[in-house]
Amino acid sequence: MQRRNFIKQLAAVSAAASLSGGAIAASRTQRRFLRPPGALPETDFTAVCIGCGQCGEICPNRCIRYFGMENGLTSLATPYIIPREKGCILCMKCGQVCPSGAIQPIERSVEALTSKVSMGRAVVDRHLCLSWQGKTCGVCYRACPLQDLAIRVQRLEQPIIMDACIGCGLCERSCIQMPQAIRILPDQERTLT
Amino acid sequence: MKRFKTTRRNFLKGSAFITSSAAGTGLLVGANPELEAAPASPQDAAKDRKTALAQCPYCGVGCGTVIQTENGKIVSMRPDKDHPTNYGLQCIKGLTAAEPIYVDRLEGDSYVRKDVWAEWKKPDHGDLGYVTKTKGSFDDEHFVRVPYKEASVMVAHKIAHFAKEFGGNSIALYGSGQLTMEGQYLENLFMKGVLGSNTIEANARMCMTSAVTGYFATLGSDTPPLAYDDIEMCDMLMHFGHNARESHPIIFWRAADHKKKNDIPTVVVDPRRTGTVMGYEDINPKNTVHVPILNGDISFLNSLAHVLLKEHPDVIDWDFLKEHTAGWKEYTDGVLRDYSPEQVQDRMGGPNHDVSPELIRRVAGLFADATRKRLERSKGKQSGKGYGGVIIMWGIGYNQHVHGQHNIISIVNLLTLTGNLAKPGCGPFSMTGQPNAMGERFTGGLTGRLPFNEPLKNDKHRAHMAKHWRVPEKNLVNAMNSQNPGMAVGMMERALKGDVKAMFLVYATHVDLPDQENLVRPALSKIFSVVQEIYRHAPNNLYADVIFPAATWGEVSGVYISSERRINICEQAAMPPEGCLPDLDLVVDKGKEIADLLGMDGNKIFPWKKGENGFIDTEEIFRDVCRASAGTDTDLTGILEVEKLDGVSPYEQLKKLRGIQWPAPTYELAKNGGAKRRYMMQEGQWKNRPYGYFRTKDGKVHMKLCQQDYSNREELTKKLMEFGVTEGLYTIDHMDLIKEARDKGLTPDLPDEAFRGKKWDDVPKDKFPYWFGLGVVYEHFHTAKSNRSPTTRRLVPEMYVEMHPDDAKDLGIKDGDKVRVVTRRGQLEARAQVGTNSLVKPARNNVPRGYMFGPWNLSVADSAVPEKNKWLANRVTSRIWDPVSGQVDFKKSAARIEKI
Amino acid sequence: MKKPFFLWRHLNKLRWLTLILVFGMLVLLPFLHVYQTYIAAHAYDLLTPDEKALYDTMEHLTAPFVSDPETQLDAIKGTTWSGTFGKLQLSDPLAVLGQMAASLSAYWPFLLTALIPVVATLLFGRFFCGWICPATLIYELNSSLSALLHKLGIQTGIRRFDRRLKYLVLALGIVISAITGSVIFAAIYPPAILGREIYYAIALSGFGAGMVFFIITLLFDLLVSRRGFCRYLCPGGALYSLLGHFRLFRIQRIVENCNDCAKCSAVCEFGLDPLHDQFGQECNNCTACIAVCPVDAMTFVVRPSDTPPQGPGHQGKRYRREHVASNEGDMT
Repeated sequence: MQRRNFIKQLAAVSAAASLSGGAIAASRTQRRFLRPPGALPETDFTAVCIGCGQCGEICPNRCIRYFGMENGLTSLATPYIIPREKGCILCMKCGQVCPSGAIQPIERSVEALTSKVSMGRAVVDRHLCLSWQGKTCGVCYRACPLQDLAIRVQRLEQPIIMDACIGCGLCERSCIQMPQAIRILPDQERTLT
Repeated sequence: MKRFKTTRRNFLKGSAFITSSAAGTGLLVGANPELEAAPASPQDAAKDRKTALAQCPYCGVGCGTVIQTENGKIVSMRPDKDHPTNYGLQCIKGLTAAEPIYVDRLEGDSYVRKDVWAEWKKPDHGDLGYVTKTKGSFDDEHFVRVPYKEASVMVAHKIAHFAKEFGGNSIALYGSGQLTMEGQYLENLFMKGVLGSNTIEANARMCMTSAVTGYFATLGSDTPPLAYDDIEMCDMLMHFGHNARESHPIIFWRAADHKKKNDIPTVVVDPRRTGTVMGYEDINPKNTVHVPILNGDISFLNSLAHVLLKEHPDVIDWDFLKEHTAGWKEYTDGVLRDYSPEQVQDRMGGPNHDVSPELIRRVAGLFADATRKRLERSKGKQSGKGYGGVIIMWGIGYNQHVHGQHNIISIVNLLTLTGNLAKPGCGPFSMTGQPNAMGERFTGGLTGRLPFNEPLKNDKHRAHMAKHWRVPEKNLVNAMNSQNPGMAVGMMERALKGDVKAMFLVYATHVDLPDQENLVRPALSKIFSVVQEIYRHAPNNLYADVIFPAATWGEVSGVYISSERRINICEQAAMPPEGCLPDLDLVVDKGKEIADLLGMDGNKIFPWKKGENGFIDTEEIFRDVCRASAGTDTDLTGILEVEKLDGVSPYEQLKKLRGIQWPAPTYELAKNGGAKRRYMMQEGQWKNRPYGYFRTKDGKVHMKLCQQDYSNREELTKKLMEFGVTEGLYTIDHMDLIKEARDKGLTPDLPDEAFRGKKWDDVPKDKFPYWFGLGVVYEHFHTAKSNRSPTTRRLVPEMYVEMHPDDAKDLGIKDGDKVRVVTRRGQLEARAQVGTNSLVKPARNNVPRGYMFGPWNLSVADSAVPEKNKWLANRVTSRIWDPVSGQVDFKKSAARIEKI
Repeated sequence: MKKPFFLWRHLNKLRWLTLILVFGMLVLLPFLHVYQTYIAAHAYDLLTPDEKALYDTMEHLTAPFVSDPETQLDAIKGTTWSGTFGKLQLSDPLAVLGQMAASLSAYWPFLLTALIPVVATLLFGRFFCGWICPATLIYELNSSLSALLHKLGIQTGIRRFDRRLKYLVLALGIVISAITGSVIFAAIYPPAILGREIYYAIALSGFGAGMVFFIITLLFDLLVSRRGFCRYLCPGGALYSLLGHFRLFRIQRIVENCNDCAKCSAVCEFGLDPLHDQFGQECNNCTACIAVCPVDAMTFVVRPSDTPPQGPGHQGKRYRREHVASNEGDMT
C-alpha cells in the first residue's frame, strides 16, 4: 500500500517537474534590459544567481528590479535594470554584497569600470536627437559619469558615443526627447575590451 | 505577470519623489511633464495645444522660447528660432523649464501663522506689531489657511501700523530679477511712492549692481552700450570672472562660433581653468589665453593700460580721450607710475596664480592687435566709422567683489583709453545673471533709485515720477531722506538692530544673501515677513508670517529685459493653480489697501482693472511705463507712437519684433527694434534727448584711476574677518573700514596659507588654510526651480566641492568622500570632487592649488528644514560689501576642510 | 526520577521568539532599504507625506544605533536565503547546492558562506526548519488555525504521504538545475520565496508569482496535509535532514517519567513519534514535545544517534500493568 502511494506521489512530482521543464523554455521578455554592472555573461549569470535580492536591497538608486516568469524560469528572481526607467549610477555596491558571485565586485574607479564593466553600449538616433536636429541639448553628455571617455559632444552639443561606454543607461534615462533619442543596446555576453 | 510596472498614474502621484545616489550621480523617479504630455493617441494630439512666446525664465541671456501648453497646463519648452538672441538654440535649463512648474506648488488659501492670526482676531486686533514666535519652521501645524482677502486686509493693517509708528523706512522689500518689469515697477511705486520707504532691494543687488554703479560712474547711465550682434563683429573677446560656458551658454556658443569662423583671440580671466577656457582651447589653443588672477583684476587692467601706453602707443586714442573723457590724465599718469607688470605681481594671487609680466604683455599685445584691426577698418573712411576691436565681457563673479564698482570702472577705463567704446563690435559688456535683473535696474527698484536710471535726489525727475505715479511727492522726499546704508546687507543688519520692522519677500529667496546664520536668519526671525512664493517648501516660508501663493513665469504676462537691453514679451501660457495670484496683482491689492489706510487714494494710484482672466491687464501698466519714461535716458515713447500710428499694441510689437531694445524714443527707432547701441550718437538724435555723447552731465566718459594696494592687507582683513563672528558688530557702523577695503582692493578673508599641506585633522580648529568660492553650475539656475526639475536635478544632484588633486592628497581626502567646508561664520557639507576625472558630477573645471569651489545652487536642495539642511552654501560667506554697489564677495572665503 | 534541565521546556517559547524576530527582520530590512534610498535622494522636502512618515519613523528607530544610516545600514542585508551581517555573509546550504548544480562549478567564497549553517546543522540537525525558517512561522500559525477549525468541527487536512518524497524533490531539483542551468530551488523553496516576496511587496510594487505558490502550499497544508510541504516536499528540509542525520544534540524521552499520554506525538508538527522514540533525521529540535509533556519526560542529550526504542513509559498504564502487576503476582 505504501509503495503504491509512493509511486503515485512519485508520478505526481515527476509530472510537476516536467511541466516546469516546459516552463523553462518559456518566452523571453520583449523588454530591453541590462544586468547589474559586473554581472557574469548571461548564461553563467542565470545559473549562478540565486535570487537572494541583496543587490536590489543595497542599491541606493532603486534601479534594480527582479524578473518573475516573464523572461523564462532561468531568470526568475534575477536582477535587471531598465535604463529608461532608472539608469545605473555605478556605485558598485551590488557587486560588493552579492554572495554568489553572479555580480563580481569591481572597484569604483574609472580604470576598473571602463575595463571590467560592460552592461551595454549607447546608441544615438540622430533623427530623434535634438542636438543632431540643430537644437543644442547635451543632457545625455552631462548625465554620463564618464564624460569625454564614453561620450563627447560637438560644438552644438551633438553626442557621439566613444569606445569606453559601458552602458550604464544614465544617458537614456535623462534624454528629454520622447521617445528617447539615445538608448542602450544590452551586451548580454559582457564582452570586455 | 508584470509586477513592477509603475503606471502613469503612479508616476504623476509620485512625481515629487526624487532618488539620487550616495556616491554622486542620480536619477529621478519623478514625472517629466514633457514625457507625460505626449498624447496617448494621434487624435488627441491636436486637442487644445497652444503655444506662447516668452523669454526663458533662467539666465540673463534672454533666449526666446516657445511655451507649449496642453489642456491648460504647460508641458514643454522649445527654443524660438526666430529670436535674434538664440536663433533656435537653448541650453538644457531652458529646454526643461517646464518641468518644475507644477512640482511642490503652493495653492489655495493664504497661509498665516496661527499665533499671528489669533492675535489679529483679538478685539481691536490686539498688538498690530505682533510677530510670530514659530519662526524657523514651515510645518503645517504652525499655519492656518485664511482666505486671501482676509489675509490681505490683515497684512495691510499691520504694514500701515508699522509705517505710522516707525516710518515708511521701517518696511523693507526684497524683490527679484525674475519678476516681470511691470511687477517691479509697481513694487517700486508701492515702496517709495506709497510707503515713502527707501529700503527696497532685490537679488539683483547680489548679482550685478557693481556693473550698474560702474556704468553710472563712467558712462553716466546704467546701460550696457552693446548688443549681442557685436559679438560677431569683435576682433577680440575677453571674459573677466565669467565662466560663460556654464552661466551664459548661448553667449558662449555664439562667441565660440565666431572664434571658429574668424579665429579671434580670446582671453579668460578666472582663477579656475574652467570649461570656458577649455572650450576656447579646443577651437584654437594658440590664441586662447587663461589668466588665473585671484583678486588682482584692477591691478591687471591698469597694468594692461600701462603696457599699451608704453609699448603700443599707436592704439591709444588720444583724440577721443581729450575730446570725450574727463579724468584721463590722472588715469594715464597713475598707471604709468604704479602699474607696470612687474609692480603688480604681488597682487595676482601668489604662486598658484601665475600671471607673469610676460603673460600680461602677451595679453596687451593681443589687445593692441585687435584694436589695430578696428583702426584698419576705419582708415580712409570717416573717423569713428568702422567696427570691431575688443569686447570685454564680465559675469557675476566679477561683480561680486568688495571693490566691484572699481572692477568695472577699470574695465571701462581700459576700453576708453583705446577707443574701444561706443562703436560697433567693441565695448564693455556686462552679462546679467537673471532674466529680468535689467528690469529691476530699469525700474529703479533699489535703494535710492527711481525708474529710468535716475536717483531720488534728482528733483526734477522726482517730481516727474510723483506725477506719473500719482502719489504725493512728499513720500518720495521722505524716501530720499531715509537711509538704507549697506543696501541689502545693511537692510538685514538694520532688521537685527530693530530698525526694520517688516519685510516683503517677493520671488526672491533669502538664501542668496551672505552669512546666513549670523546675519540673515536672525534678522528674518525678528521682523514681520510677508512672503509671496510659488513653492511649499521654499526656505522663505520658514520665516514667513504670511505666505501668499503666487503665480510663476508662464502663468503671468509681462516683459523681461535681457542683458542687451532687449525688452522681451512673456505671454501668459496657462492659468496658475487655484488660489495663486500674480505678484503684480498681490502688490496692487496691498498697495491699494495700505494707501487708503495711510490717507491716500488707493484707486487713483492703482487704477488698473482686472482683465478677462481675472488678473490685471499688464499691458496697461506697460503703457504707463512708456508714458512715464518720456524725456528720460530710457525713453520708450516710440512704442506708444507706433501704437498710435500703426495700431499695433505694445505687446504685439514686442512679439512681432521679438523684442525691442531700450531706449526707443521715436517711431522709427521703435519700429526697428529700438536703439541697438548707445553713445556717441549711435542711437541717433531725437527731440528732448536728455544727454549728449554720453549720459554724464558733461557728456563725457568719466575715467577714474582705481587703486589696489596690499601693503597693510593683513591688518585690514583681520578687522574685516570679525564681522559675522563677533556679536553686535555691524558693517553699517563701520563705513570707513568698508571704504578703505574697497579703496585698497581687498578680499573679505585671508586664508592661513601656512597650514596648507597638512592632513585635514592636523589643521587646528581656528585656522582656515584654503580659499573657498561659490558660483554656479551649468545644469542649475539659482536654488529653487532647477532642483525641482527632474532632468536638471539628476544631472547634478548633490552638493560638491572642487579640489585640486594635490590638495586632496595633502588633506587625505579621496574623490567622493563626504567633507565639511568650515569658515569662521558657518559650515556646509559636500562631496569632494577631486580633479576632472572625478566620478562626482559634474567634474569639468580645474581649480588651482589652494582654491576650492562649490556651487550655491544646491543650497536647499537636500531640504529647506534648517536641521536637515546641510548644503546651505551662504552659511560660510562674508557680508563685507562694496560701499557703492553693495555687492559682497562670495568667492574669497577662507575655509578649512574636514572629513566626515 | 530523572529531571530534565528546567530550561528545556521553555525553549519552545524562545523558538517562537526567534521565528518572530527573523520574520520581523525580513519585514524591517526592506523598510530600512527604502529609508536609505530616501536619504540618498537628498530631497527631503519633496517626499510625499507617506514617504516622509516612513523616513521619520525609520530615522527614529535607527538614530540611536547609527550616525550615518546611508552607509552604515548597508551592513545588514538579505534574507535567510542569503544574508549579510557586517563582514559576515551566511547562505542557505540549499542555495549553494542549487548553484553548484546549475552552474556545474564551485565558487569558493559562496561555499564558505554556507559553512556555518552546515556545521550548525551537523550539530543541531534540521534546526533551521524549526527555529529560523520564515515559512515555519506562517506554517505553524496555519497549523494552529487548522487545529482551531478542527475544534470547531470543520474537517482539515490530515493525510499523510511518504516522507521520502522530498528527497526525490531534492534529487530532481539538482538534476533539473544541472540540465537547465537555473537555480530551480529558488522557485519552490518557501523561505527563499517569502524572503524576496516580502522585499518586493515593501520596496518594489508588490507580490509576484512566488506568493501565489506560497499560498498554494498554505492551502495544501490546511486542506490536505498538516505541514504537508515541510514534511513531504521541501527540498531544503530534505537537505537539512540528510545533514542532520548524525546530529549531536537530540531529544530523548525519559522513559522513567513518561506516562504514555502521547501528547508529544500529537503536537509534533513533522509527524514524528516521540512516544515511541521515533525521532529520526527529520526531527528539527523544535522542543514542542518537551514543552507539551506534562510529566517532564523529554530532555536533550548529546548523542550521535537516536536512543533505541525504550518501550512503554514507566508511569504509563501498560508498563504498570506489565511490571507492577507481575510484581503483585509475585507476592501471592
